[in-house]
Amino acid sequence: MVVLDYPAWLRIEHWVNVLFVTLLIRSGIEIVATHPKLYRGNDSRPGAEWARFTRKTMPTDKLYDTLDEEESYSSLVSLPGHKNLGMGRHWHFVTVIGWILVGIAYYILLFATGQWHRYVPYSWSIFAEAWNDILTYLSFKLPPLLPGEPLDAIQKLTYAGVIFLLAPFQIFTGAAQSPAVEAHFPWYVRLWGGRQTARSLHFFGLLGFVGFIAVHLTMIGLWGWPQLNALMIFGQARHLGWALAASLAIVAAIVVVHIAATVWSLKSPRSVQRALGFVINHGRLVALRPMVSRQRYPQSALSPEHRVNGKPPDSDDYKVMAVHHFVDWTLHVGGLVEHPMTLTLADLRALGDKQTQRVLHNCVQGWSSVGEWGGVPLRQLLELVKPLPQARHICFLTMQDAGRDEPSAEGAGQFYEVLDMSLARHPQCLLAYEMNGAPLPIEHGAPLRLRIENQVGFKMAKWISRIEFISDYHAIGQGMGGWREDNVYYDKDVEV
Amino acid sequence: MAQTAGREIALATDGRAGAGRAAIAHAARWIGIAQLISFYRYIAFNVPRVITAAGIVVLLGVAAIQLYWLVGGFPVPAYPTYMGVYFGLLVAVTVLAAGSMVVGSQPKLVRLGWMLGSVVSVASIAMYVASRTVGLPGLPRLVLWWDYPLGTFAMTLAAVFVALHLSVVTGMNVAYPQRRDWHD
Repeated sequence: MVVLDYPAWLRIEHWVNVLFVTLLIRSGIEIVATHPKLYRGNDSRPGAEWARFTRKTMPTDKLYDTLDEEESYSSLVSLPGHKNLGMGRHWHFVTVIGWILVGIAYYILLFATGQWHRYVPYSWSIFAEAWNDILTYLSFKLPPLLPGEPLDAIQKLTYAGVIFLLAPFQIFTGAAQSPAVEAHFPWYVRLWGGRQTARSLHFFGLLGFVGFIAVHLTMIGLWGWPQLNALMIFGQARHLGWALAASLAIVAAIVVVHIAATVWSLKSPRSVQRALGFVINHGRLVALRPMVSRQRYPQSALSPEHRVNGKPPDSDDYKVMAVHHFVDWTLHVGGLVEHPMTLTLADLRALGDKQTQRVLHNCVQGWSSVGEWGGVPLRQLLELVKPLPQARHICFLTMQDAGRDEPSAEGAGQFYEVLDMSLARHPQCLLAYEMNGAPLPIEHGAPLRLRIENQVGFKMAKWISRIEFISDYHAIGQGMGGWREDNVYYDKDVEV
Repeated sequence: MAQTAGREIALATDGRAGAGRAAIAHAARWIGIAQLISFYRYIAFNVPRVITAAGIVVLLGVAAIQLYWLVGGFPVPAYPTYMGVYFGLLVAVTVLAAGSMVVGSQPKLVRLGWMLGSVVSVASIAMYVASRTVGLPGLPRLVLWWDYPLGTFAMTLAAVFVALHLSVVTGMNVAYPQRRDWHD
């Protein structure tokens, strides 16, 4: 029988886990803040939420968009706080990568060293013992430990639940919120009851961790903080004073990491975007980029209402075009192509048979809905204009001027987004001029918007006026690959 | 001259104090102290049926335990008559409160049910704590007898009901038949 002691790897992983879980909780709250409402199913119909974490109410007499709904939370509860979704996402995703790697190492070591006996129950009698333990705690007494084990029965079951159920649950419900995973495995979203149900369950998982931490700390206090603390520092209940000092130093170091991450993110978001984005993007491109959308939602799944992120162009030119149903609108396609062209809406419609797709839309803020989009596949346009070999990206320039049109925006200038060429040939990469069987509504990007279903919504530029094939995007805007990337520090590649 | 200088010093001091206050106010705003203190106002749920069902289950749990004590499960078999009356009253009022919480056509009755539920919950906690601390007439054995899981459980259920009711009163939750009027 293995001695269920506190080996060094277990102690180290414990404290690393404290850092990662607290970073995940704070950055997770930052992500929730950007759309502080929780729903069921796939829709995010206004008013249908079962929970909201905001005091804002939106006007009924004028157009508002989901940027207006964002909340600014204190840095004490969110990382970094103050309405910084881009930073929150970077910290959440980079921490998830670290947490998963630490978790895998933990599982391997648990089973390789026999320490799994401390958590994994292997007798039905443990449930009866756990019930007795609960009664003992309700008697304001401490139950006996399991023979030769460091935990009592209810503690053992709880740890098993957290380590083998709750932690994977968070990873799986997190994955169910990735547009690439959803697009490639639509059944996986259904498995969780829909995109918004998965988001709600992920939130419950967060509450589960918070509750576990509270009970865990209470138990440590009841069972003898100095001794247990020493076990988690030295592996033995000795040098209690030094152990206390060491644990305080570790907690202080964790707090310092949180403060440093917060200050760094608020003072120099661009460097956070570059540094953390470097790590995240490599993982993302390897794991998620190959996932091609193959969604075919039924007609009955269409959302009754599709939220909007971003306001339409507020220019006379655009309004005049809109009044004339965009007959005067033209799309310029140029850059590194053999055949630059200018197309009207009628030209686009005449390019070939219209392709329609009923798909799940994922906003970067967390809301979602199912819509039917009709238009011309981008790859069809590629065949016409014939990109040159050096064309590696496509830049979609729009008629939206963020400074003029979007008072809630954190920046100004023409909205644009850059897409990698590899995505342009995806079968469901679409230049959409219709939505739900009707001409594309103004608020959804009329007369033309992009649909690339394994990406987050902001990549799908609306109100497109120009498409440029380019070899490099670093000289455009602030060089990060899009307006949102430039101004609010999102990632360029957003499969999650 | 001296008076003018004094006034200038006072103004300068006021200025520094004003700047200090402004800095503190700015820091408080940045940290979000007001948000943290009033955090509950940032949390609102729209699950009225779940809340009402939870309230009823918890309340009936309290009633069931009191009934169990009434019909012979009380740890002191020969308890005084007033305790029997107390248990019976508690069971009756608790069931009445739980019943009125589902009369959707009468919102006032529903509110009364929640209020009644909280009153009996608080009363049951108060009686339990009193029996274990100052003692109740004819029940000296109960003093300091905290080692009683069913009693702790009953207190916990009662506390959960009061917390649920408080969440409804503060607006964090709504109870059936109320619905949120959220349009956004």
